[in-house]
Amino acid sequence: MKKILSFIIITGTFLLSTGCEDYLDINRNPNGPQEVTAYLYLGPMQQEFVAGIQWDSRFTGYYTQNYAYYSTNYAYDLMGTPAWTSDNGGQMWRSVYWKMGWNLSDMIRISQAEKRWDLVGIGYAMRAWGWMLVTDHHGPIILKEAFQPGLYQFNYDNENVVYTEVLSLCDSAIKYLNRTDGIVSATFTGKGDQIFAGNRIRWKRLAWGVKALALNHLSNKSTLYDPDKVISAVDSSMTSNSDNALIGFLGTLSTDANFHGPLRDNFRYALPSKFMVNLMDGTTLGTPDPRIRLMIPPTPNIVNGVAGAKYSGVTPTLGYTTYPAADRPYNFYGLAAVGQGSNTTTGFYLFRNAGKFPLMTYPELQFVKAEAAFRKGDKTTALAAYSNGVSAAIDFASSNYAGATTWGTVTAITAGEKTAYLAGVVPASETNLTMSAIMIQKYIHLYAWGCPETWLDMRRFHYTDTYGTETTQVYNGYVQPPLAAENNGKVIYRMRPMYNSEYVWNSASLEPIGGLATDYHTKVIWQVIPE
Amino acid sequence: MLFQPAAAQTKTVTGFVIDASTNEGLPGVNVVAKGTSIGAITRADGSFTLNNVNQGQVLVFTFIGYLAKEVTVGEANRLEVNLSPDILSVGEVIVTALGIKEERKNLGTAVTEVKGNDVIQTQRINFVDALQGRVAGMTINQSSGLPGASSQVVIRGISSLSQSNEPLYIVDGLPYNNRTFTTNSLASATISGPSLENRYTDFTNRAADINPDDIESVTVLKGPEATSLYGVDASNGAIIITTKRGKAGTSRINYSNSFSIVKIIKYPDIQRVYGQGNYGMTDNTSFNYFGEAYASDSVLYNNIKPFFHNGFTQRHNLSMDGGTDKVSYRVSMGFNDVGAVIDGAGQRKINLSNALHGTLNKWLNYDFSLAYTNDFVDGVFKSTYGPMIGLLRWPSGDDAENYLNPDGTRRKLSTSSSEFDNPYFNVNKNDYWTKTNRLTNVTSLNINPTEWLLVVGKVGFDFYSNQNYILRHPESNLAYSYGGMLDDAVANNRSLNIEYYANFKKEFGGLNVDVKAGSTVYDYSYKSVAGFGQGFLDPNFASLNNIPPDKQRTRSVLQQRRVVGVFGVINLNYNRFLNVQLTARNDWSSTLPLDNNSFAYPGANFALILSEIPYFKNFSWLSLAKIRGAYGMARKDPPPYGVYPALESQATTGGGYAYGFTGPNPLLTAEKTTSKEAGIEVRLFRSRIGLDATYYKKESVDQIISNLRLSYGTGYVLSVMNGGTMWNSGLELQLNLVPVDKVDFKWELMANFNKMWSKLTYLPTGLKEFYNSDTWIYGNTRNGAITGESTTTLSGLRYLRNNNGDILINPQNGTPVRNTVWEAIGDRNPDFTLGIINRFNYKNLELSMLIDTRRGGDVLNATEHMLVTTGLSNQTLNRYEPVVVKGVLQDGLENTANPTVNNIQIIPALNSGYYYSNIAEEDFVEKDVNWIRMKDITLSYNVPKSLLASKAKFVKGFSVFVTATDLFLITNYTGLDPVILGNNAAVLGSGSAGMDYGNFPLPLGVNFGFKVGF
Repeated sequence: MKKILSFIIITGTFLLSTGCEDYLDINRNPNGPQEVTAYLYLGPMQQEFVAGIQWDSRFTGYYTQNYAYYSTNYAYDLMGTPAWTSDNGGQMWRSVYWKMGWNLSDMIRISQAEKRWDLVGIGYAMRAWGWMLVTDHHGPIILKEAFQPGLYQFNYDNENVVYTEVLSLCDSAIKYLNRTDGIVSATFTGKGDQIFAGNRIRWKRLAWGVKALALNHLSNKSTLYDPDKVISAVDSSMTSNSDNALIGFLGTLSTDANFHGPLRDNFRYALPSKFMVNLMDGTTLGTPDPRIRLMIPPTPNIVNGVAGAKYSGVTPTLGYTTYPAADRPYNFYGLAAVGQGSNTTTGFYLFRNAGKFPLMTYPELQFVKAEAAFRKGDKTTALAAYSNGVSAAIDFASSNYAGATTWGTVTAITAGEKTAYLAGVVPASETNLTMSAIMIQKYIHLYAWGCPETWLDMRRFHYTDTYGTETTQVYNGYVQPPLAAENNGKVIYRMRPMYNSEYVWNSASLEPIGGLATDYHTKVIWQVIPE
Repeated sequence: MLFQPAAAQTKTVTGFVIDASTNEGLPGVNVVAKGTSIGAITRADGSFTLNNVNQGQVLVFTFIGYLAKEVTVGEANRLEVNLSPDILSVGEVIVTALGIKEERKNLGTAVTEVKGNDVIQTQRINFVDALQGRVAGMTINQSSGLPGASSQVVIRGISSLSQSNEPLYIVDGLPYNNRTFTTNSLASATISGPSLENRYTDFTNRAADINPDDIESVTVLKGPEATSLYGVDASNGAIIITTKRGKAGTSRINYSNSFSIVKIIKYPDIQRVYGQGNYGMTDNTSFNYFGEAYASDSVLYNNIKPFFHNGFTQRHNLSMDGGTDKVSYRVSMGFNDVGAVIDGAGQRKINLSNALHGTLNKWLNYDFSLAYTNDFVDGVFKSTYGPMIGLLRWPSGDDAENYLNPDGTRRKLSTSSSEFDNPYFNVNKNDYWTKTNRLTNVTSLNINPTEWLLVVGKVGFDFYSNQNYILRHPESNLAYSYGGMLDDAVANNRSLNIEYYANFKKEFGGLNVDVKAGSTVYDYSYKSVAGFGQGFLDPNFASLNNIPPDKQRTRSVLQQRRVVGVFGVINLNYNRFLNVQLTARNDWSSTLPLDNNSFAYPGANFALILSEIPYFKNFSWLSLAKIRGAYGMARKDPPPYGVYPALESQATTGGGYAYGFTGPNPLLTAEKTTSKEAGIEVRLFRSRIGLDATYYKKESVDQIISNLRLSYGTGYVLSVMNGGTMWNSGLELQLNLVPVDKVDFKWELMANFNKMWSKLTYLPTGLKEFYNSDTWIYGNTRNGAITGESTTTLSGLRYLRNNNGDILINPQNGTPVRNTVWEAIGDRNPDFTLGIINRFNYKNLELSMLIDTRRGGDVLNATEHMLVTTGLSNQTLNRYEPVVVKGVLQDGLENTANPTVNNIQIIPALNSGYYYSNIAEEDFVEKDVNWIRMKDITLSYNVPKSLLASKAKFVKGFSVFVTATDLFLITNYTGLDPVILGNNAAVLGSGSAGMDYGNFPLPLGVNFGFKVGF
């Protein structure tokens, strides 16, 4: 008996002393690693980054009148804000703070330790870009206190603070992307990099591009704006369409399909706006744009036996029922009567399940250069950049969007069409170049993908400004829509920060910036306030 | 010479003594002719023979734990005597923590025991459901009235905001896993569209695997005071199940069956005046009903009633037991084939069990049990995906039963993607089932070398495998845009448990000292492997093998948790009137940071049994008077893997890794609940009147809050952290009466009263509300707990009001403005609950019933809100009567002395937004819902033993019964059934009780059957 008793005591003691520590050390999650090789962080961050831009453009695209809703008085057509408790408009917030967040910090930290300077540089470039997009979208954001362990409430930093950080991060990115020592390897980085397949030079150009955009965003700031810096940044950035930052999708399940594609069905009710159609069909500019067949979904109306020959733009807030059924535009999936997309729908323009989605392009940066040179008064440089921009933009559309669509095949732009169009919109003399022409061509080029940049551009021009002594409005033909009740008669200038992140859990910090006001979205962001 | 009574007057009486609760012979009963020394003790089969008794003499039958009975000898020479268990028996012994049998009167805590027979009698497939109303302070909610539904048990209120509030189940001394399968284990969980979020499915809580027929008794330990010896998993109470063992003596075969019919007694109702459409205009692609009135010659169908039918259930139980005084055995088999009130639902369950108990020598005995369960549940989807919603939304102008085209494809009414699934299509073509195979074992050794020492060791395993198959048909509305969806998952649960302790007993004068010390090791492992696919190659073959490789996803979840504990308990009993118990336990849990994984909790309780004090013993009317008090602490460890960061593989194009929603927290500590209770127990007049009253208060601090949403500035979406303080208190009363106790007629009554209070006093980071997002099943409502309110609130977005409390009206359209801050819109905690058990015995007839009542407590009738907002509710029939919403305009004057009273008239029918977007859910929280429900009522008849003995000697017992379950429900609740969970029991925290959205009510069941023993 005593033996049994002592056996029990001994086993018990053993379990509790020697064995216990190891026996209980099973709490490291076996379902996922704690750390992975650096490139494995990159792909998901890039995908989430683009998803953030795409998702939020589901709202901002109405503010910029890229598209208009199929029925009447849609809140975003009215420049209204998402329902108060909605997270709509907060997807870039989500991707920058969470999906990039610690993952980006870890990637930079691990890459730094392993001397993978290219990945470090990519990390800084993405961080700079992310901060810029969210401050342009929301105004003040959490910057200095972000990701600080132990903090659960976060103060906001003003936009100027964020811009200082963005420019400094761009410089860091460029510095690291210049380095070829260490173990910089396009093969290694390319396994995760879905934008440039690890091409360090292209990333460096992209970092310069982010810097160019950031510098140019401050055009209304007389003390901060320096057009020469913008021009030189553009000159260090992308050199041709082959430098364009595009990202692709597998397009099989909702998790890996293009957010804009028919499988995700997020743009079913978005239709081309009257403003855009007028820009493309010659109504506003006098010259019909050959890109119209590649970028604007037509109507089912068959004119003289030709399908896709007739276009209708929807006036925001009026809906498409102002047209008879045959003249109501296809939606961007190429479906009549705002048909629902599915995984078998081919799609149209950018709106395809596995299509490539642009994030930044050479023509875009050429228009930035044109604007800066124009503001500087160097119209020769401005015209050259403008001309480059339009030409490259046509090539870009032609090479990316021609081919089969849901409703039929659209053909590439011929050399003749291009020449004719350039003759119509590129003035022979720099004296005839206008700010309006530059911004309109940029608007067309960024159509439906560059919503963050377009929205900031339009806000810089307060939607309806006329530049200098020009006689037409910069956004020629743009008509301000009726406004939502909560706007109190003012146009929209920012999105509220993400509801579930901030209004529910960090609302004390929103109070000092006025974020609790119901018309907070109409408050002008610092970037565009003239000073 | 002594006087000899005439020979004719004395006789020999033979007979049986039968346990009234089991209808089995009761051995060892003392039979004495009153006032004489003539007596006998019943044999193993309950029979006895008594010589030399006189007619007119009174025989007294006594047996410990049973109410004594007196019978006058009449002309008959054969007697049959039923002894009822004394539910109040002072000398009663019940099973408490560690499986230790203790005298009930010595307990310092409130403990309730339910006899296995009472559980069996209710004919519930899930034995847990039989406990509702029988235990003060215990609430059971079912996820549905369909077979295989999960049942959520909460004892003494919500003590954890985001962790489980379920008690620990102990079977034969070791833990029995009660996990409910969660959809987080499915491969679809990582894909936002297909993810099921525990909202649209239901899975059985696995304690239901126990065969009710194997249960000898169920003991409910309520608070940490009573359960602290069980350690970390018992902080919400414990349900201790003792299964049946064979009895020494002749072998016995018992067979019982039951055939039952279930049916719906209340049907939902919809209006059949206005057809499909919006704004008063007909639109047959819309599933709103704000269209024009149906033409007078329209053919309208009542689709609702024909959808339901009677369900048929059959159950069979066969057991054999017997043994000698050295070894006894019991083997049992159970079979259940359970029908439902709708197509596509049902359950088949098989139970096999073996128990062996033996004595090896004078100091060693052993006990071994092995139980196997095979369970198949055919389920239907729930809430928004469920057939009930589709049934209600289906146009009355169409015959829903006609759900297929002639070629067998789904018949659609429109091309609209928002067309609801036809309910028949839903239940017949979607396929959703769970198979479970479970094997559990407990082996224990008792070593009793000397009178003062006992060493007990127990080892057991609990293994089960779940196969879950969830098919969303390629043509269904749920999945047609995906080309069909299939989740196929196998989940294995394994627990290994060891418990051992030594028990020293010694008496010093009047002081009995009893010391126990021991240790437990619990080792849990869970592994699920799941596949998901969408887009079937051949739409008629639903298998993961029929899905293109690029549309398949897999998910593997492994969870491990180990808890090592040591415990000690000292029990001091002084002269039988004072009992003091001190307990202590320390646990080491693997889910805490390694250097901070040890936590201790003490407990103490006393019982002062006044009626054992010599002075009080003089009062013969006082059977028991007792005062008790207890203090206990419980700790709860966090769920696994909260401490260290972990990356999750990403399903975005190209794959890769990223952090999941929840950030790591290396500072986690165990949460702490301290509880105090005090009680009195009084029994009078030989226990014919008994009252047991308990008051408790428990406070929980350092709550581990999982899934706490944070500012994304943390870099994460959710966090697990300590913080949060709340308390619960309650009053539990149990009244026992035996109003009539005659030879042939006896009436017993027991009433359980329970009232609870609770408050959430603090949440971390200035947070005002904590909720479980799974419960966001309908509109803007969820189980939000708000600081300063009770822990059982529902939260929602209310109407915006001015300082005066008037509803603010939008000056532009005359409809109310909604607030944007989540506030409490109702409290699900009732004012009180009352369970009333009545039992009448008349000769061999027994009638017993349980009435479950509740007063107060709110229920969200989301179904009705949906019906109103879609124009289906009868409440919307006055839609053409202009209304002016009562309130003041939000025009800047609302908080001045003279706010503008709203006078904007609107015609609701032409302004669907009036219903659709502006009627707040708060209007559909039905306040103070009361109910009286006949949970179960049983009439049984035992064929007299004497009759059997003369007509069919080999039959030892025969009884027939009829039981009705959920016979009626009297309530002021306007929906179908107020007790159903909105989600299933896998949802943690305060769960989704009191949220009714498209739920199936508990059906009425009528069971017939017989029991026979050989």
